[in-house]
Amino acid sequence: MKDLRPHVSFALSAALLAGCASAPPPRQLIDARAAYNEARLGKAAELAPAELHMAKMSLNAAEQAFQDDPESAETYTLSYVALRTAELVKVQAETKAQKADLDQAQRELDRLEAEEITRTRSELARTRSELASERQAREAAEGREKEALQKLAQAAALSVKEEPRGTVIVLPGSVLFTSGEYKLTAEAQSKLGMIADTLRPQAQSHEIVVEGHTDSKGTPSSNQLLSENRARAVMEFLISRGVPSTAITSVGVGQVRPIADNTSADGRANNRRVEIIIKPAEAR
Amino acid sequence: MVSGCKARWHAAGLLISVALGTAACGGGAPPSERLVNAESAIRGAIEISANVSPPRAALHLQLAQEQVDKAKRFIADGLHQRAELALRQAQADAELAIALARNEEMKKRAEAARSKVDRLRSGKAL
Repeated sequence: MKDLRPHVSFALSAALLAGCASAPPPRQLIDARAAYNEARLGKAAELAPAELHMAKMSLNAAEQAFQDDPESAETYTLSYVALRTAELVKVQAETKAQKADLDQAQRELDRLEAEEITRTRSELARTRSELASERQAREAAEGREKEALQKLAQAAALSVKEEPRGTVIVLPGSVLFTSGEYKLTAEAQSKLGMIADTLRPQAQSHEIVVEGHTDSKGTPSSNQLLSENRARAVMEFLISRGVPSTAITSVGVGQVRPIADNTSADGRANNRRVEIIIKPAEAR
Repeated sequence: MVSGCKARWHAAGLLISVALGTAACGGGAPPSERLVNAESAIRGAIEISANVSPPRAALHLQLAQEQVDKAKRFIADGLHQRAELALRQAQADAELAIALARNEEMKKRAEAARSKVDRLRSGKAL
C-alpha cells in the first residue's frame, strides 16, 4: 500500500501494452508483471540487482512475444519463464538476507567466544597467583613455626621430632612428675610455660594432642588411668597459659606404646613420658 | 516460419519431396542441449532437496519433471519447437526449486546461529 505510485505507473504501462495487443494477456504474463514488480520493490533491488536485471530481461522478452502474437505458445512459455524468474529473484534476495544474518550471528559468536576465552584466561591467572601467594604464606608460616619449635627444643633441652602424625615434643616423665603422681613439678611448669608460649600462635592453625604414656610396671588399668591423668594435667596447664582449649585435647595411652625396653630401668624411664603432638595444618 | 518454408521450396525446386519438407519445418533439430540442461537442473534440485525440501520446492521440481516428460514425447513425435518451449519451462521450474531449497537451508543455518548467540548471551547473564 505504501508504494502506490510504482503500481499505478506499472498498471498504466501494462494497460498501454494491452491496448496495443488485440487479445488480453495470458494469466502467466499478468502474474509475471506482478511478481517482477514485487521483487523490484522488495529486497532484490538492493541485495540481488544482477538477478533482478535478468528478471527484467525475461519479462521484456515475454512482453515482446505478446506484442508479436498474444496467443502464441511462445508468448505463453516466455510469460511462464518470466514469472518463475521473478519468483526466483525474490527467493535469491531472501537467501542473501539470510546469509547476511548468518554472517552477523557468526561474527557475534566469534566475538563472544573470544571474550569467553579472555575471561577464562584472566580468571585462571588470578586463581594461580592467589594459590601461589597462599602457598607462599603457608610455607612462610610453617617455616616460622618450625623455627620456633627448634628454638624451644634448644632452650628447654627437649626432644622435638618430625613424624607423619605431626611435630612431636617428648617430655620425659621424670622431669614432669614425681613417681606415681600426676602433679606437675616446678621444673615441669617452667618448661611447659615455654612450650605454651610456642604453641599459642600455632594453635590457630594446628590441632594439638597431649598423650600420656607409662612403663609396664603396675597393672594396665592403673597405668591407663595414670597416663590419662598426666596428659590431662599437662593439657590443663597449657590451657592455663593461654593455649585455646578448643585447639587442644588429651588422651591416655597407658603402657601399650613403649618406645624403649621395659626390662631395664633406663628403658622404663624413657617409656614414662608425655608427648605433645602438633598435627599438620591439613589434618584439621 | 511458413513463408520461410515456402521460399525454401521455391529455391529447391521440384526435386525436394513434400515429406522431407514437412520434417524440416517441424522445428529444426531436436533441442538436445536444452534437454540435457533441464535434466541436469532437475538432478541438482533432487540432490539439494535430500537435505531440506520445502513444499514449494517439491511442487516446482514436480512441474519441471512433468515438462521434461512432455518434451521427450514431443521430441519422439518430431515436434521439436514444442519440446523446446516445454524444456524452457522445465528449466525455469527446476532453477526455482533449487533456489527454494537453498533458501531453506540458509534459513535453518541462520536460525541455528542466532539461537546459539541467544543461548550464549543468556548463559553469560546468569
